Amino acid sequence: MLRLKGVTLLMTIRTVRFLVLAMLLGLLAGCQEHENENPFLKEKGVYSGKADEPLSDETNQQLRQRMKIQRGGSI
Amino acid sequence: MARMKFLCDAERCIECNACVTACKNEHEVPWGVNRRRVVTINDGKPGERSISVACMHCSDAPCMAVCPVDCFYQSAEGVVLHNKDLCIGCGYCFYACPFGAPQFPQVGNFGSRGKMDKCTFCAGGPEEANSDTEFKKYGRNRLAEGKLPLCAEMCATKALLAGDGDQVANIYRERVVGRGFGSGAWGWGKAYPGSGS
Repeated sequence: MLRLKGVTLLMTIRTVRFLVLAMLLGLLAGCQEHENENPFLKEKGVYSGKADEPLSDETNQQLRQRMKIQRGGSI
Repeated sequence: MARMKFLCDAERCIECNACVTACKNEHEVPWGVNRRRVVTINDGKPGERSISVACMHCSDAPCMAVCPVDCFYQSAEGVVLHNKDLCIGCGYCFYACPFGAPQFPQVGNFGSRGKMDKCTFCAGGPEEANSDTEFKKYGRNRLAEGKLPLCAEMCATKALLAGDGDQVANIYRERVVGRGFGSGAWGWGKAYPGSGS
């Protein structure tokens, strides 16, 4: 009876080990080969994302011209 | 170029909601998100006024100050933009904004809101100008095409003005002088302190 209990306990430990190993393998398989582009180090108050492209002088000139259209009407 | 600003002339706004529709259509804004909306004050009473409200791209933007992941930045033209890759959808910007501009696309379990969405002054985001990625995340980048925000360009009564702050202020000043009265440039004092409102 005592022996039987020991075998059951051994089986349980093996099952738990197998499950833990399977979970670890599953987690490893879920990892990406390359790191994400997210920043790791952060400086408070500093934007650390992608930089935006500034508008060209020509585009700024076009925008100024377009502003004049908005004047419209008498009042 | 001076910084970009919005101004809504409350004496001209007729609450047609064309700005709201134009914005939604231009940027294919998802259901439930309104980057711009028209607010009516004293509805049905004497002194009723309507104002078109969206992100005012404040000089000292409170959303930028409270963002825990610093996903906001100001472009060279003074447009307040944000990076959706960095946004964690915490909603702090929504609580800080005096204009209620930040919008969230979902109401999920455990308070998950999704990435914040707001008016971009039709300037897109940090992705490549007019790329598919930029359009999907932030909408169209009209500024890069030399065009002003569609809400203002669509406005039939020219109540909503957008563009170089100096030019906008000049147009409004001329109108006030012409009319002989003005109800004030709504929201300017809050969004651009020290610019004269």
